[in-house]
Parts: sequence; structure tokens; C-alpha cells
Amino acid sequence: MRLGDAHDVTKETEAEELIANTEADVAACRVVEPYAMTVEKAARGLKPVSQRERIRARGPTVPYGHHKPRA
Amino acid sequence: MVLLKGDQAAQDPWIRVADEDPVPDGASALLTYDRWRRDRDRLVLRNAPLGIILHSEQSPLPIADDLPRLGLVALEFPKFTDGRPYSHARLLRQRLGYRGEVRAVGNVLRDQLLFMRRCGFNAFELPDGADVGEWCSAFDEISVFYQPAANGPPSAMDLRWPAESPAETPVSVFGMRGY
Amino acid sequence: MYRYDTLDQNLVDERARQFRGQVARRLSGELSEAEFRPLRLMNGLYLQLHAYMVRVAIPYGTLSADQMRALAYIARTWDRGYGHFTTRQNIQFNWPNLADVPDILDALAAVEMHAIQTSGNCIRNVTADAYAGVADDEVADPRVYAEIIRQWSSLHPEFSFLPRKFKVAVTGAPQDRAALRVHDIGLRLCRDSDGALGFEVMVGGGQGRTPMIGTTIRSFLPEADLLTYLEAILRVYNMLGRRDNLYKARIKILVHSLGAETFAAMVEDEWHQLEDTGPALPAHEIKRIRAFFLPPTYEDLEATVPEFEARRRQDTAFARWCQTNLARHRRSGYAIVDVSLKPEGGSPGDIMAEQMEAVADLAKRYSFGEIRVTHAQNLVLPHVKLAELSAVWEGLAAAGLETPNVGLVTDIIACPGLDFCNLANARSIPVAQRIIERFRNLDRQHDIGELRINISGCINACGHHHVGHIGILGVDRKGEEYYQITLGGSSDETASLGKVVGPSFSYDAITDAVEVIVTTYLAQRCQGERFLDTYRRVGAQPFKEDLYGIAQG
Ligand code: SF4
Repeated sequence: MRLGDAHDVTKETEAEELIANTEADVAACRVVEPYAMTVEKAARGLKPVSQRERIRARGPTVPYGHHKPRA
Repeated sequence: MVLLKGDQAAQDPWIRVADEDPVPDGASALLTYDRWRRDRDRLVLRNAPLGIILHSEQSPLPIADDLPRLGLVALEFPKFTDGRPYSHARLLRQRLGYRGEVRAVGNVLRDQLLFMRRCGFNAFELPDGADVGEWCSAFDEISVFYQPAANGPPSAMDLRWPAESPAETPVSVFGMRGY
Repeated sequence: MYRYDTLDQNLVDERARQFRGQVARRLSGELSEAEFRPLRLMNGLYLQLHAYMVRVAIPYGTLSADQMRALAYIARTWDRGYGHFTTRQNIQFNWPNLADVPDILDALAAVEMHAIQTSGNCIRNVTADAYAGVADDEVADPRVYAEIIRQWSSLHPEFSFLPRKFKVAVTGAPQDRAALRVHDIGLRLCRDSDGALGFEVMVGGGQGRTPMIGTTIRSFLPEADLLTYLEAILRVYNMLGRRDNLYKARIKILVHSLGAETFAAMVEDEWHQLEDTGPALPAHEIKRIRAFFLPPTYEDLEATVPEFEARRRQDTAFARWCQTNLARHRRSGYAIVDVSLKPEGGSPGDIMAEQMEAVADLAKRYSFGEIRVTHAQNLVLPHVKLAELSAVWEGLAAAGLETPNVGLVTDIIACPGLDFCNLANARSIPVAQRIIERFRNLDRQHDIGELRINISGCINACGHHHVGHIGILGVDRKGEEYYQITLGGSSDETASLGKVVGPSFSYDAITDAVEVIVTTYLAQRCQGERFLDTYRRVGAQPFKEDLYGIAQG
């Protein structure tokens, strides 16, 4: 699941509805814990407002193992 | 509710009596600690079996003198994460020498049965529809216990150092594996 | 080292099998995440920002070369080629698949290791002095008792659902290298006036949201009473510790609210009643365990080795490394080697699979096959001959592990922070990296001298910021990373908690702020003073003035 596939909604009730719709995926273990996050519309798609969600979406900002972070 | 005694499903003869209700004559009555305290003088005159249910914040020490009259002490787990009843069960068995039924009620999970039994519980209220055989298989998952227990198989210490032969070297369990 | 007998082995095997069943039930959907959660947490399996994380116990920080190899194998096979050593002497793998975790536990069991009780509200993996058995100031080897406690606490039926997690540390020396006073229980081995062995027992230390320094509740506990006394402490805590508020559930809050004296009296009372039914610790069992920790067969060596001295004179790089990365061994002709996991550009505590193997090889050839993990996230080769230090240094250098900075400003303790951790407010690792880069000049590091910087990404304090000489705590300001600085913390035998120096700094300003603090110290220090000494003498004021430009109250 990527940010590019995101549904963006503006109302909290819509977000709750979306989360409720993931129940089948949760039951089938395709998804562990769905939740909503706040984003802003950037030039190229959506950008999470909090640093946490940016890192969750893009991975660690530091090299680890043999992996180098994306610029 | 399914009652597990030892490792078998059992009928439950105990009737849980709400604090305002009359205590039924001739039946096994399970009362709260508060009810017991309030009506103790009358209740001791009864002929039928009596049991007390303790919430997780109620230590069994205050009912120490009453234990000879009690056929059942039920310890309630309001949440499985509330571990106080484990201590209370050990106090009942090891400090107070209680030999009657100690029952786990409330949020009882399969993967905690083994801990409960080690602490001295010998009866367990399982959720509706629980497969008793499957739940009991939890008892067999771990066979090694480092701690002395209120009941159950001997501890690692007992196996390493049997009482009859306090020898200089521990017994056969000392077979070391090589890499 | 301790070796499992068939009982110990059966337990970890059965435990791994049990967890395999639980994972299967989870993957088939029979268990929900909510039901699975307590089960996985009892096996050190967390759900982190990007993936599951497995935390493997390294009891009292002691590893054999073969165990280190197994960790390398796990890192390469089921993770992304590396592991992360923590401040509690454990190792974490950040990228396993849930379906592979049972195989990881089997691979651990094959080398007498496990992930039992590395999470959850139970007695966590016991930590100890990383120099146990080799330190020249040691009274007795704490690993003997740490192993006894490991066994007693493993799957303890009464204490697996405590109000909160519970951490025990043991040392055998007056110098505290295990942060005893910030543990739920700290045990310091000592002798009474008759020469009998026992413990000073400290209770109620801790970090997190409400940091506290532990109080001694018994100055001498005979060794035979260790387990009954621990059982008494745990029982009082289990029955009376708060369960209504997560942040008030640690034993430190109970000790604080009752008062240490009252708490101690309750423990003593419980302990006397436990005499007959508690877990006995007969002398023959202590003897059995002690036999595993007898010193290896050292050679009789001269205290000075001419080749070693000559190389130190000629080779500055080697000399530098010797200056910071060696500690005095109790045997003449041997040294304790600290292996820094804080290179420039690295993440504190991280180590690649190939590096683990290099350390394992060096341990096998030069250190009786033994390795230790320190609470500062470094490794130790505990017994290296002075004559072989050159070879060890070259071997380490070949693996990129020769960073000569142990105890210096760049030997930073840092938790995984926001790059990996679900609970974090801010990143820790890149902050550490920037500071390491800023102070990369070795002459300058040596001039600054002993200085510990500790960084935590949130108030949980896994990076021990409260006890850093300079502590850095990540805070969240409207989704942005900020850092609060504390000064004057210490986790040694003079333990103290750092005090907040003032308003927090942004991600981009924090490195400069650290540099200002170091510059202030250099300007203020007297001859021979370490950072901590200077801070304790002059207080926070000069640092505040230099950091914030104005005199603050
Ligand atoms: S201190 Fe906070 S951010 Fe760092 S590892 Fe612990 S919980 Fe995570």
C-alpha cells in the first residue's frame, strides 16, 4: 500500500467509513492496523503533514544495513 | 461459560448471589467479599457450602480465618493484564494453606492457564464455546519450570538437586550440548 | 560462559514451538492482532514504524563467538544484513517478516538464546557490568547471580503480568558500569565485615517520564537470600503497584509514594514470611552456576610487552585507539578491548553481519571465544593478550571497527528514534551522526575528554538521555522535530539526573547548541576536570548564558 494509492477525504466521518471498509483486509491479514493521517496537497501528490508519516511513507532517513536512504 | 476443573470440563454447582439477593437455602452459594463481611454472623450458621469471590484488588489475607468454612475462593481477573490474582492464589495456597477450590474467573485466556495452575488455581471459567481439549493443550506446551510452585510438576531446581541425594554434582539433566 | 543443560534447552525449544503455533494461528486469521499482541510481546516481537521488530535477549551482555555468528546468520537470512545493539545489552532486528519469526527463534534456540521477556510487563532481560569477571576492581562475578536471576525470572508464573515492565541490573564492582541506580532493582555485590558475599539492594530507580534515582533498601543481603528477597519485592509491587495509570505504574512511583522506608519494611515483612515457601538458593546451586564462569586458562604473562610498547610509540593511530579503547584487565599481560560501534556516518549500536563475523573470529582467536555487549551500545573483547593487541586492532580495522572514541564525545548513546520507532517524537540517529561529524577531529575529542551524550527520540528514554552528561530528548512541536537538552546526568556510582537547561532546539539548531555547551565547558574547566566535574562545580548558569544569550533565572 502506497501513499500514491491514497484516498483523500476531508471529513472525519468519511475517514472512519474508509477505515471501516478495510475490515475484510484486516481479517485476511493483508493489513495490520489501518488509520487515517493528515496530509497536504503538494506539487506531486500528497505529502503527510507530520514527520512521522513522511518517514513511514518513505523509509528511514539514515542508511541502515546495505541500504542507503533516498535523497 | 465453560468450567474447567483440573483438565476436564465440569458441571458448576455454585450459584453466584448478587449482594441484594437472598442467599438460597441448601445450595452452594458464591458471595462477594462485601456480602460475606456484612452477613457473616448469619452466614456461618448455614449448612450448605459457601464460597467467596475476590476482585483483583482484594487480598485473601483478611479472610484467612474463614478459609476452613469455604469450599471455593474465586479470584477475578478484570483484565488479563491484571496480574494480582496470581499473587493472591499463591498466598492462599502457600501462606494460608487453603486446600479447597481456587477458581480463575473473568478475563481468562488460554495462554495464561499454565501460569495460573502453577500459582495454585485448580479451576478455570472459560469463555462460552471454548474447546476444552484445545485449551487444555496449553498445559502441555511448556514442561520446564524454574520456580517452585503451589502445585504441579517439580521445578528445575528440584530435578537438578533431588532431596534424597544432596550430592556434590547435580543429576543427569546436566548433559551439555556441543555446537 | 553458562551452558544450557537439557532443562534449559527444553524450555527455549518448547517456547519457540509454542510461538510457532501462535504465529500460525495469527497468520490463519484465527487470532486477531488484539489477541496476538500480548503473545507476541511475550516473545520480544514489536510492531514498529515500518515492520515487525524482534528483540533478542543477550543475558547480562555475554555472547560466545558462535552465538555472534548465529546473530550474523539471522541478520543476513531474515533481516537486511545488520542488527542494532541496545542500551539494555540486547540486539534488535528491524525488518523480519512475521512468518519468519519462528525460524529466527529456532535459530536462536540452537545456540542457547531466546527472545523471552524482552518486552511486556514482566521481568526483563537481566543486565550486568560488561566487564564482569575481568575488571580489576571486582569483588565477585555478577554473571553468576545474573544467570540465577535469569532462570528464576523466566516465565515466572506470578510475575508475568506486573503493573509495568521490570528491569534488574547486577554489578560486582564499586565502579558502576551497569547504571544500577536507574533500574527497578539494582544489585551490587559486596562483602560484609566477615567476608561473606551478599548484595546492596537498590530499588525504584528509573528513567522515562518520571526519572528517579534508586534508593538502597538493604545494605547487605546474604547471597543465599537473593531469590526470596527478590520475590518479596516483586510480590509487594505486583499487589500494590498502580494499574490505573500507565505513567504511574513503575515500582519507582510505588516506592516514592509509600516512602522508601515503608516500602522496605513491607518487603522485609513479606520476605520473612516467604522463608519456607520462597525459591531457595542453596550453596550447591550457586556453586554449580559459578563453575561456568570460572576464569579461562590464562597464561602467566609479563605486565609489559616491548613490541606492544614500541608500536604504541611509533604508530599514532594505534596509540590513540589504545588510549580510549582499552581497559585494565585483572590479569597481568591482558587487556579488555572495547569495540566502538559509533563510527562516523554510522548509527550508534548498528553492526553489519560481516562485522559480527569479524568480531566472532577475533574473539575466537584472541579472547577465549567471548564477547560482551555494553550498555553504551559497544562491544567488548574481554581478554586479549597485550602482545596480540596489534593483531586485534588490525583485524578490527579491516572490518571498519577500529573507531578510537570510547568514552569520548562521539561515543554517543542513541535510541532508534523516529527513523524506526513507532513511539518516537523525533529522530535520534541523524542527530547523533551530525554531532559525530561535527566533532570528528580526534585531537579535539581528546582535548574535550570524557563526555557522554545520550539521545532519546521520546520521553520513554531508551537512549538514557536523563543520565547523559549532555542529554538530548526529542519532542514534537506540531509535527516538527525539536530537541530538549538536559545537563549533568550520570549513570555511574555517582548517579544523577540531568536538568533541563532551557527551551528546546530545532533539528537544524541542535548540533550548534551541543557545540556551544562544549565550548562553554572548555572555557570554564579547571585543570583535569571532566565535563561532569565542571558542570557540577559551576552549575547550569554559564551554559544557559551561552546558549540563550541572556541571563536566565
Ligand atoms: S526512546 Fe522513544 S523513540 Fe527512542 S526507542 Fe524508546 S520509545 Fe522509541
